[in-house]
Amino acid sequence: MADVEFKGVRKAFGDHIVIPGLDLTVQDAELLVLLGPSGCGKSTLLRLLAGLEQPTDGEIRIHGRPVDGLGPRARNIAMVFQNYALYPHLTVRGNLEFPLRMRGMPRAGRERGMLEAARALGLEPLLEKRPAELSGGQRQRVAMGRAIVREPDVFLMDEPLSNLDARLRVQIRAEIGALQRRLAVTTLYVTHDQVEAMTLGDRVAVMRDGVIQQLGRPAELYDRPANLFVAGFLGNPPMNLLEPTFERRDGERMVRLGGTWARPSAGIPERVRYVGIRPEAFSISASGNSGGARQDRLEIQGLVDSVEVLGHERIVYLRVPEPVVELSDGPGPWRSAEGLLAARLTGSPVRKHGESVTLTAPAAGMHWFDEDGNAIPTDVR
Amino acid sequence: MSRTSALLRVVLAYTLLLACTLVFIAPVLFMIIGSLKPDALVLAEAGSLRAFLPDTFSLDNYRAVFERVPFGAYLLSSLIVNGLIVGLGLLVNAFAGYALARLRWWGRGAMLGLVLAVLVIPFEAIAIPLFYQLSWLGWRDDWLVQAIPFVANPLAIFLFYSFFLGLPRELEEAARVDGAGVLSTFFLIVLPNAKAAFASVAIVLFLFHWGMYLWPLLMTTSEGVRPLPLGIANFYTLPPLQWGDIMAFGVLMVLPVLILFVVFQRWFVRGVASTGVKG
Amino acid sequence: MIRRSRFTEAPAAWLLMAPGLVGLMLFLLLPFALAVVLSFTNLRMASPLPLEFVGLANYTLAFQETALPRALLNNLLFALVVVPAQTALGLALAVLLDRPLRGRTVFRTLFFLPVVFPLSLIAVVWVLIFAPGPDGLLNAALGVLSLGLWEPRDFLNDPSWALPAVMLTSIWQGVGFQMIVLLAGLQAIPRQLYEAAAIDGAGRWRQFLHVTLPGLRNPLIFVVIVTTILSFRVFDQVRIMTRGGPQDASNTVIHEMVRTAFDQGHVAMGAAMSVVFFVVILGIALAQRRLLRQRGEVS
Repeated sequence: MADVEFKGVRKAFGDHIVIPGLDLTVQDAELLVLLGPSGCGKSTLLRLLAGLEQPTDGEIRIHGRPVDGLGPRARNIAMVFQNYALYPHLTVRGNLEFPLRMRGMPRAGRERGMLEAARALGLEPLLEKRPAELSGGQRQRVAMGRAIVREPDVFLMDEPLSNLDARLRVQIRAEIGALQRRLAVTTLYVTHDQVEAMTLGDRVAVMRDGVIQQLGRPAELYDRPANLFVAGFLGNPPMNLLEPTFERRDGERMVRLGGTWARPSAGIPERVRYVGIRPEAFSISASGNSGGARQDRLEIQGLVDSVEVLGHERIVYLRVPEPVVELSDGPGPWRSAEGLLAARLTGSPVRKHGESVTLTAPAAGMHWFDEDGNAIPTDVR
Repeated sequence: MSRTSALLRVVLAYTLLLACTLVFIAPVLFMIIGSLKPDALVLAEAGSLRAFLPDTFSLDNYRAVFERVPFGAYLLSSLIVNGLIVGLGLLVNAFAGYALARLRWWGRGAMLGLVLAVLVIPFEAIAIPLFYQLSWLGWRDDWLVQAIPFVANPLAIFLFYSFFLGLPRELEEAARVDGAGVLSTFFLIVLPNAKAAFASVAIVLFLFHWGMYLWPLLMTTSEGVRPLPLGIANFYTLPPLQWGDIMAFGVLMVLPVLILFVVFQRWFVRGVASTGVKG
Repeated sequence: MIRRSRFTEAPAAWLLMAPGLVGLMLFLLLPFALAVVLSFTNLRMASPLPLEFVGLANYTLAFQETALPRALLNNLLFALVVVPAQTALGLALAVLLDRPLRGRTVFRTLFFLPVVFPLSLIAVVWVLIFAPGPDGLLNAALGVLSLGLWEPRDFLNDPSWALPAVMLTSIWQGVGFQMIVLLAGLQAIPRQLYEAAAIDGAGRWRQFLHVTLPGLRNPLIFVVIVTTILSFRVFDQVRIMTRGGPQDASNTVIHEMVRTAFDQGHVAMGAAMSVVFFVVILGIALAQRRLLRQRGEVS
């Protein structure tokens, strides 16, 4: 069942268009993550739904009811802010009670609702403290408590974990996930952190420049990125992107990837402008092999540039003779960078700087993109 | 740099500071000590060190202040008038400053322009027509007429406006999402967190109006509603001229300000540094 | 479909704005408009003549037959002396206090003290300090300092001393204000700038010229403008200390305006002086805006 719908929503601040026109449907009880770099319009989308901003154009529905023109008060939504926005002059009790007070709930009901939320988040011992006396994690919980206290139709979370240290972030991330499943309230969750998005989201919408690049389950986005942006945004280190060069030699179609010639058998169609390979798709092949690609494998030669040891695995950066492609922050989606490939390797011996290495990846591990950066399905080969 | 020259520098700095202190403190000491001396000696001893080291102390002058002029009435008037100006002024100007800083409404730009424009109109330029305007209404010679015209203050509106602009927006947005309307957000969330602005503006308003002289001079005739600055000017022209009494009056007049100053020094400094209107 | 009323903050905004707006209209804008209108009439206090428009007569007469030109000149002199003197002193005090000295908050408090005193009180105390004869505090002090060479005089009744006496009083009262603003400005200059200048070989004086003064540009402009405006608003001290005398030697625009309108009952002429005064203040305010805008273009 559709619970929140954006239809042709456009938002401009003066001449500056933040969202050029967007459709999105959020299912009932779903946790949908809006993921993207800063300035991509994900927070604006949240604020439009909250009623803190009004769309320039288009319609938003909650539970099938159009809410345009309504203020935040009339929408029955709850929001967790990035800095928590706890009321500094009120105690934890006062903060938790505030939404109930604003609904005009009588004192007894308020007390009951407040205690219920406090219990759900383990805040009971802190009720008489003020926000300034709380730790970061406690503040975060109070903000959550204030959101759940009055059973809203929709939860909005705007980077709720970004002010926490790494360990607390993992812990509270899990708590948020559990809480959301238990309460089964439709939730929109904004973040720029792909790990949060992948672990929490039922579905994830990757945004850029106010446009949803791809919407799907986390595994879908990772395994079948719809375009170069999604491919490069998800994954750490990001997907390696190479520009293939096609040439005819002795009547045979050849392709060169990252400076290594291959027979055409890699099966790459000529309209492919970018080939993507995830770092974990690589393994090290016995050196001195003929190079190039077999029917089902792909090989690339290079020199070890540096190695990052991450415990059970290591990331080897390989210098190849040709530039590779990197996502850019500026205009235009991608640019050429120095020829470094990343390979995530387990169990192979430590490589030293300058050592010559041949990486190999299964042809099935390739992602193809056309000149506009859109994915070309690899199963039509 | 050698140690001796550093030491010399400190000694020099202190010497200069102490010399300045003497200049700043002498008139004040002169007033305080004069208030404790017999009237005739204030002027007679002004030229000698006796001005600062009297041989007799008495509180006679203070008694005289209450006996010769209605000091209590002056003080009460000053307190009431300033209480009204500061109390009402804080509310009215904070309201306006908030509407200008935070709310989205048609007319906001024009109103902000108006406030900034009238900021340059000095009170002295409108004292005469305002006197006429209010006299036509038959409104004069009471406490309210000394206070009400100064409640709405473009400078105070501007100070509140800047303060609210600098307040993090998220608190108000959270309140809105939590179901508060515009007014309840303002009263329940913004006001309790704007104490710094209120303190600064209160002090600026108080400083500016405690010494107010021209307007009450124009608007009041009965001693019962006249404030302290008129009192001391009046006392000063009241024969026989008794300097000890006048100094005692001065000490009493400045005492409330001094107490406030010592207690709220931080806010005084901040308030004045942010405005610079006192004159 | 029912057209929902659009959510708007306008009613609340007008509600909050209303009291302030009414106040500004009634007690600032309206009287200001009235001042302009009255300045073109023949209104006098308790006059039997019917109200008439007399064109620019008040303005011409004000400049020809009242002390207004002298008063304007006095205000100008006042500004020319008080503004530089007070700013320089304020800067000196601020620089002295902008170092880790023991007891600097005490000094700061003492220097700032006169700013919180009502001007009327300060005026009265200084009348006593300027008392005539060898027993006057200032006369006596100058006598001691000059080893008896100082000829005691009646400062406030001496045409060449009355205005300087008022100036001195004003400087003493207001310098603490300059000091506080400039001190805040000094403390906002990053220490690294001084350290960098010192490493580059700049001595104290060069550091002051090339780091301190440029860093203080905005606070300096601010205090200069404010003090200039205040120099044209001088009234309380003059009224109490000299009543503008002797022979208008210490008269000021506002004092002349009040005297014309209230002591002599010539309201319309007083209103004309208000307008002249406002034009002067407006000119200063516009100059300030231009100065600050230039800043914006440079940086």
